[in-house]
Amino acid sequence: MFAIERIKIIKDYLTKDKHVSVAKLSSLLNVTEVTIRRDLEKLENDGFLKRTHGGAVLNADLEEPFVFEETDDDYNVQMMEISDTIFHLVSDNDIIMLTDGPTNLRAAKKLVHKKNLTVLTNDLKIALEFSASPSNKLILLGGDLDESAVYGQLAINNMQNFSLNHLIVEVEGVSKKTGITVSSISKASLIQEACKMAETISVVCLAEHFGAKSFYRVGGLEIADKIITNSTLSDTYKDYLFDLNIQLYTSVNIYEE
Amino acid sequence: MSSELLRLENVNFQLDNFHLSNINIDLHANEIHVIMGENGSGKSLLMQIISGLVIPDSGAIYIRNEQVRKKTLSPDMFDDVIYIRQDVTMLTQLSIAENLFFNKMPYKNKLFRSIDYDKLNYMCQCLIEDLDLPVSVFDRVETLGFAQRQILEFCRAYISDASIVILDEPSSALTQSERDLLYRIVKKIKAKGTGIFYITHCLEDVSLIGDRVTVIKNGSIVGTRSVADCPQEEIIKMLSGRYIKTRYPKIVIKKGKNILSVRNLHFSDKLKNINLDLNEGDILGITGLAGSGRTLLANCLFGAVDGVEGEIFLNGTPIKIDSPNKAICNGIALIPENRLTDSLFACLDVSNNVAVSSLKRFANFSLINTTYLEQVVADYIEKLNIPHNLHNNIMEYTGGNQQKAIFAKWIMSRAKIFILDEPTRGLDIASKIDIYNSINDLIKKKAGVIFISSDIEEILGFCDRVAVLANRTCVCNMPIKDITIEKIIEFSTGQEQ
Repeated sequence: MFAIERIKIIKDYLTKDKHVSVAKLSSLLNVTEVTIRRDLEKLENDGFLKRTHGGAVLNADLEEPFVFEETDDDYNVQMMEISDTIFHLVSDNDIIMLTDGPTNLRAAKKLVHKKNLTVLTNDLKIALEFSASPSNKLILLGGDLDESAVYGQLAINNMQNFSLNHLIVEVEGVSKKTGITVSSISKASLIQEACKMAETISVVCLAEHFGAKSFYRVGGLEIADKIITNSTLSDTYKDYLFDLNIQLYTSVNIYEE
Repeated sequence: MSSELLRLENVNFQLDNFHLSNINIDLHANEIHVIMGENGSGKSLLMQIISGLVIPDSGAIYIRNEQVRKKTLSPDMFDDVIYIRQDVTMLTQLSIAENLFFNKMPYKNKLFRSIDYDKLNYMCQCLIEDLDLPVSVFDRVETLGFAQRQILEFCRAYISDASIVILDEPSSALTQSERDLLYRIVKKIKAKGTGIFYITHCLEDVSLIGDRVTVIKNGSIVGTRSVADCPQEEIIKMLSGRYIKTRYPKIVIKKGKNILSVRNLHFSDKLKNINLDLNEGDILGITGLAGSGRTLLANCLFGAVDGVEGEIFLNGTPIKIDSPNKAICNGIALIPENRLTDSLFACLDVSNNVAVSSLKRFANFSLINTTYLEQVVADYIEKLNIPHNLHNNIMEYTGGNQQKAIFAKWIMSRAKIFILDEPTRGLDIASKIDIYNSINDLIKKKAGVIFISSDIEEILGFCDRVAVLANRTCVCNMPIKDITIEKIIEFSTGQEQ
């Protein structure tokens, strides 16, 4: 059974019964307790449950069965893996910018555990994550609100006051032909401006969206210093990006501690 | 200018992933032409082409201005070329004299081929006196050490009639006094009017005996210079070439506590006084020339060889690792250099090859739960992008996928210390990237990695610290930010001692 399936079963079980023991899950799923603990740990990091001695209980703060109800589990696992890589690519004391997007939001949840970060963002949800983290500084851009993020000339003017160590942009398409693309023109121009102020530019994109293209072009692939995606990326893109001298992080999650 | 013996024009040759492209090189009589280049740059392949062991795909070879056309491999064609390889090819049960003159025995009677031993021994004695060798005619080869056997190989080149001599890394295994002897022999060979190709990693060789030097990198020639007007810095520059380190997906992890430390490790006369430290989340790169003892060091740490002296501490506790089993039980994993002979079980399918180091996990009262085993293996091979068919024989996969399966095997065993010996050599780029990223996953989760590689770019681009092995010991051990590619080349070629 794949980890993904196990996690789904654990979640279903917990939503129904509110608490479960490791031994019970281990016999139910026919895997070792170590594996179960690993799964539970993952779910705890996601905020789904709280681990107790010998088991776990459903997170009481949770109103909905799951935080990111808009995406299905498979995507969620992939995004969690990517966000873990982002976490390791940011060091304490960095000045970073996270653009809006679901993966960056997950990364933000992890980055609150860093120290002395200065985070610039145009995403209200990301800003909210950092609001309860006194060890880091958050700067929220102002501008025209579209769904839960701000764009437009106001946001760009706002942003130009800063210089960044590391810009982390989440995009909707990466392809050999059209380069890096996003879903709205205001997002594209925001990212283009942000790129001018950053030392290092990381592009975050799900492996599935490689080869696909969105409508608005941000720039060629060469603007990226690092590309962060997940392990299902096709071999042709691995070859291609390595030849372009771009650091490619595929967020393999395989080692069991 | 002395007469030209050999000339190669626009020679191309393709071998799997590697190709020699547009090789132009020549050799004159009375000349020592030194060939340099890192491991795997194509030096030996080029020499095989010159000696006729390999027929190039295109291009022309001229010997004394006459084009050589080879359609098939036949030994007659090699009369003009003698190729002395790194490995010694001697008949150990025979005497030195018999070995040296094997191809030109003096006969008492040509018809019956009865050997004239008196004459043979006399000829050999003359040779020994001529070259002042520290051996006797009647010694059998099996009583000699490796270096002495190698010296005898050079004598074969001396007594042969070949006008072109190829010496493949002759000096790498020799001590200083043996080296002096080698230089003497090489100079005598040269004085006969012979042209010599001399492959080496040692910059000292170049300045002492070289007439011209050619540097090869990635299958093409960087340049040929006359030694007299080429300072060493220029050779180092040619060797390091264009250098890219940003494309390796490096992550920087906060280092944890010390998990492995090695103090004063000795192994017979091959390794001495080695000190290493490895922390959680660390990638320690180890590099050095072929034969500098990198693989041996890996084997010492894994308990795969007997007679290791010195202290090894795991998590601060002293431990004696005397067998691979003990190493595995203590969370040490080794991915050997040669996956075909040392890693894979050619008769087993993928799932068993991956699970073989963690069978305990799947055992239930000494019965293996195959369903569970296959589920877990499927999970692993999916994450490493290995094609999904558990019951294919492992040998049907490409090299990259085999190597990833070996990786999966050790990751599954949940080791804490991973010793990787040339993990990416000869792999396609996609597999390399998968391997780099799984190493990232290991260090994220607090494992420690010892990364042995001869690719200096890779070491500089991916490791946290680098140790260089040369002269049987560790000549430098420093953080990556303090070292450059030129420095590593200097250290490993023995210039800074």
